[in-house]
This record gives sequence, structure tokens and C-alpha cells, in this order.
Amino acid sequence: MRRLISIVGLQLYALCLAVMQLSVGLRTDEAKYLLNVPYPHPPLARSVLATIKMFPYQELLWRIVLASLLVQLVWCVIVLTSDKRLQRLLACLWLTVPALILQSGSIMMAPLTAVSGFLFLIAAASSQRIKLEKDEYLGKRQAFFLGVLWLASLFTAYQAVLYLPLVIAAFLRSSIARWKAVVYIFAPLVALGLYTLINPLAIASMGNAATENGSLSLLMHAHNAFMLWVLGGGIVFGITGIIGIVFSRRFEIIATLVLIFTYCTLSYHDYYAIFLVPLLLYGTFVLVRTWSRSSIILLTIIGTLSSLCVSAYFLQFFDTTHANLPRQTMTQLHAARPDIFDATASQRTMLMVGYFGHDWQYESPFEVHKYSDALKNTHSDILVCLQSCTDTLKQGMQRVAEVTAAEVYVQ
Amino acid sequence: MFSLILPTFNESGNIVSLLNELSRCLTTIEYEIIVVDDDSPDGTWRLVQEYGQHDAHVRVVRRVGERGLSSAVLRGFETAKGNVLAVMDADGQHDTQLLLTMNTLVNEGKGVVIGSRYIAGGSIGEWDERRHTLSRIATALAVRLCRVRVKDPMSGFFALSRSVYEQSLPSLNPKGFKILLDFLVHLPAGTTVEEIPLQFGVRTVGESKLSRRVQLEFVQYLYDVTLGKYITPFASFCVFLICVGAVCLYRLLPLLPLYIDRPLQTSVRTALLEISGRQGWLVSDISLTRVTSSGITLSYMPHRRLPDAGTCFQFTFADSSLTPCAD
Repeated sequence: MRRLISIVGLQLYALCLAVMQLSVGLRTDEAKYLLNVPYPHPPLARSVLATIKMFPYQELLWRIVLASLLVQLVWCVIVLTSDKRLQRLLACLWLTVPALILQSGSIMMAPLTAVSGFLFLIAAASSQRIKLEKDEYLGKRQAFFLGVLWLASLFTAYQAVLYLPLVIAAFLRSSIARWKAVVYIFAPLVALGLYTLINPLAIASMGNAATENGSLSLLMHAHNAFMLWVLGGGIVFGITGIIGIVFSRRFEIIATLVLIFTYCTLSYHDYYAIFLVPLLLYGTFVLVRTWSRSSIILLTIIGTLSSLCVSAYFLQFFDTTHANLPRQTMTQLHAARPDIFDATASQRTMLMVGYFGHDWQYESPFEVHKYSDALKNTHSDILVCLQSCTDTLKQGMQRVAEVTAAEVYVQ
Repeated sequence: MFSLILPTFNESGNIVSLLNELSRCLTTIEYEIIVVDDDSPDGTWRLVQEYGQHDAHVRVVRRVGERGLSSAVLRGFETAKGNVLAVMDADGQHDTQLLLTMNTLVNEGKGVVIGSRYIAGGSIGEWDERRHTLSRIATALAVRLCRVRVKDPMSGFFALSRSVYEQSLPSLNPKGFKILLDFLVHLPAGTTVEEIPLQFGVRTVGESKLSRRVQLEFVQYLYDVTLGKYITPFASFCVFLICVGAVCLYRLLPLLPLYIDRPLQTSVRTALLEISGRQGWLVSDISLTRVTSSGITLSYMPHRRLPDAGTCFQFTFADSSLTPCAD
């Protein structure tokens, strides 16, 4: 009964986080995954997300599912120990860490990769003699499931490769033959390489991502690393996590930490902070497992408060002003001109002038085209001017005055 | 000699009364009782140890760090001295009066004698509907794997001759909780099996061991002795990866010139940007399907919340023409 109440409570928490993300609105990256746009990541998760793209509540459903996955994973987190006080500490850490609060319910690949990372960490930890608590080597069947998880993670997001040191450690310490371990580790990487070659757009977008922060100063890179650490650990758990990882002297965990910091500071996005959470959680666990009861309780309270304060601070930066623009525009347009949303809507084209994201594709039933100079004499069925449109484009079109979110013209 | 194995875990509430009952029941034959305990936290092994101090027929094997009913039974068989080996649950649900019949039948030449719940005269006692259904399903699956026709291959109450045990031993897979099934799957040719009716009793003390983990182990066992013999996890992983690799290679071959010929890369990039600019198409809606020195073939698929429908086009470098594909 107690467990049931906990599950329900956690589910309510997950629902709150999902609704919070819903209020922010659909981001261009989220729309990209919901529509299965084939870049930058491999196809596994995005094609699963897109299987129900015609379902009206697709976005809401996936937000709830992904938030629930992250929040309910706390049951796996507390399995690390049988000590109730430590379990409470780990649960509080996991549930209140800013990266999790800010990312749960977002339809991104980073939280999924972090979940995989946590499972790799468990596998690496439980395959070592001096490790969490139980003393079991990974058997053939577990190695198989780990291999499948590794393959699935790689085909979900390229960043899964950041956990490679953990995966290597888990396989090399398993009871399977060394050559089989090598196949489990590297064959999925080869398959991913082959997949990447058939999708030149992914290669191009990776190239863009690699160079986008190239001009930043060393100070800015340091600032980015600091931000990742703050978001990933909420200051207090960030400190205990890093100290614990260093004290653990676990090469694979230190190597993973270095890899993540290096990659994420060079190609910075705040949502990458969630990659650090499993490692900082493990570090905190290693550090405090011998602490006294009162010290653990004190750390739980201070760490949780610190994480909540950091989360609250960053929540104010959630930008809700532009994310719903496509949805508002389409809703207003539908109310003003329901005739163009008829059965033939999919054959109409909507020309976008100005910078726009995949969220326009997601919200619009029309075929979205982007404006270029070559199209200056073209006439589309619907014209959306996110920046000033030339008179030639507007020729023969009427502005829909009822649409206030953006400047929209129709034939 | 008749050797009876009692695998136990947390049976302190049942074990002493059961041992008393067995001592009364088996007085007419030469016997030994081996309790194999998985280091029960309730101290079952200690109770048996104390019992054994005044009854030489009874001894205990305490397994530390090991779990599992099947492996416990095999450990008991290893240490047994008898020519008839029997197993029963220590929860009091099996009828001790049947042990003598089992001993007689095995001594008369039967390879295996099973206390069966599913033949005339047998019953499952007071199981709830869920457990009854689970047992029925498990039994129906298990029956198909056995080398002989039996009604209750999932019984935990059986006896077998030492020769059957020794011949089967090398091929056993002691996973989970149904060791009888494992014997019946790996039975030596020509072994005779007899079932005698068993009326399943009611557990009065302690908890059932039929956890989800045990159920999962049973499913794993079924897989191991059927498909698992031919498809190992590693082999299936490799086959799957080879399929993924083959699909990728199949789609990669028409694009290979793009990676071999550097000047061609520039032409393709320029062509894609030109098509995108001219048609207003988003680059992310275009996917390359073939690259040749004269042009490219591409699929244009606008991403929307509608069923996917790509259209094939061919672009020629020489005249920058974009035409729908012929087929």
C-alpha cells in the first residue's frame, strides 16, 4: 500500500513536470523528433515517437511518458542500496536535481540517453568486485541485454557514445569471453557508423554542431562547464558527486565524466547537463555511504533545498513567449478561415518568410516551404511573414486580420 | 536406501513437525533425510542441525550465497547415499504417506515416480484461481517438452532411481524451481515413468516461494530448452546486427561516390541548396538516395502530421534540371 501511494505520488510529480513543459510550448527540436525528421540523431527513438504522429494528443502523451520514465526511474536508483537513509538521499537527489526538473517531460533525446547512462553505470558498478553492494558478475543473458541497450542507446542519440567507458568496463568484467565483449561493444558502433553514412544530412548537422561554439573564449567554455555542473548536481550534490567520483578511483567513471564535460563544454546546450546526473548520483553515493545517520539526513535536506533553489532560479528563464507562436497562428487562422483547413489542406503550400523552426511543420497541415530569393515571384496558398515580406509576394493575397500572432496572408 | 531431499528456505515453522511425521512414516525402510537450506534468515538450518543431533537419519546442507530450488535438489542428490532419490516440499503440502509407495515402485524398476495432481484421484487443493491458471498454463507448456507423456511434469514431489539421476546429470540445466521437468526433458531412453495421485495439501505456516522471479526463471528455462538450444543471446545479437548492417550497406552503396569523389561532394551540396532554394523545400525534407557523376536521385518528403509520402526526383548537374523519377 505504501509503495502504491509512492508510485501515485511520483506519477503526480511526473504529471506536473510534463504539464510544465507543455506550458512552455513545443520547441523546434521536439517537433523534429515528433515528426521523425531525419537529423541529427539516429532513427530509433524518433521513429517510435512519430508512430502516433496523427494522434491529436501526441505531444502531451509523450511528455507524460517521458516524464514518468525519468521520475519512476527512482525505483532503480534506490536499488543501489538497502540502507533506508541512503535510499532517501538518492531519491531526493534524483527527483530534485535541476537537470531532471528542467528536462522531465521534454521530448528530447538527452533524458533518454541519461537513462541509458544510468543503466550502464549500474552494469559497470555491479560487474566489479568492489562495488555497490551485491557481488554478481554479468552473465551471458545480462550481457545480451546490455548489448541491446547499448545498441538501442546509440541508435537513439549519438551522445550515448559518451558512456563508452562505462560500457567497456561492464563488458570486460562480465563472465562472457573477451572477444564476445569486443563484439558487443564495437559492432554497434560500426553499425551506427554505417547508418550515419547513409544520412549525409546527419553528418552535415554534426559538422555544424561541432563548429557552433568554436569561437567562444576559454572563459566562456569554463562558464559553460560550470553551468553544466550546477544544473547536473544543484551545487551541493554537484560537490559531493565530484568528490565521490574522485575518491572512488573508478577509471571508467572518471573517464566518462571527463568525456561528458569535454563534449558538452565544446558543444554546449544546457539540456546536456542531464548526462552528468547518473555520475554525480553515484559519486554522492560512494562518498556518503559510510557517513553517520545524522550527516546523511543533513546532506539530504541541504542538498534537496539547494537543488530546488537552483531549479527555481533556472525556471524563470523558461521562455514561453515564442514557443507557442505556430500553434497560436494556426488556431487563429483556423478560426478565421476554416475553409482552407478542409480535406485538401495537405495539398496547399505555406511559404515562410523569416527564421522558423520545425514546430511550424508540426502545427501546420500545409506543406511548409521556406522563402528564398529564387521564390520572390512565387505565389503560395498561405504566406507567413515572420519578417517583412515583399509586395510581390503579397500580391493577390489578403492579410488575415484576425491572426494577431503573426502576419499571415492567404489567397 | 531411500534418500529424501527437502529443499528449504524460511521453513522454520514447518520443518520440525514435518521431520517428526517423516520419522513416523518411514520407520519400515532404511532411509536418510537431507535438508538443503539456502541459509534461511529464520534459522531453518539451525533447527534441522539440532534435530539431527538426536536423529541420525536427518542431516542438513547449508548453502551460503546460493539460491534456487533446482540447484538445491541437485546438491542434495550429490550428497545422498540411497539408490532411490526423492524430493518433496518442506511446507507440508505433500502427502508423506506416498513416499513408501514411491520407494516400492522405484525398487520394482520404475525410473521415475511422480506425485501427480492432474490424474484421477489427485487434486490441487485450495489454490486460488490465479495460481490454478498459472499452473495449468505452465503445465501445458511443459508437457510438450517432456520425453514421456505425463500429466504433471511440474510436480515438486517425485522419486527416481540413482541410475536415472546419474545418466541425466550431465545434461541438466538446474535453473528455476522445477527440477522434475528438467529430468523429464533429459530422460534417458527407455526410462519408465509412473504417476500416482497426489492431493495437494494446504500451507499452514510460512510463505509461498512462487515469486515473479521464479515465474520468470521458468519462462527462461522454457526458452533455454527449446529455442535457446539453437539461438543463443549472442548469436541473435550478431544476426540482428548483421541485418542492420546489411540494410545500411544496401542503402549506402548508391551513395558511395559521394564519399569517394571529393569534387562530387561540392556538386551535391550545391545541387541540394539550389533545389531547396528553387523549390522552397526544407533541406531536412530531402533525402539523397543515389549519387552519380551526372546527377543525384532524391526523395522529397515534407514532414507533417500526415502519413509519410515521399516523391522521387532526379537532378542533373549539367542542366540543373529537376524531374520526377521515371518509375
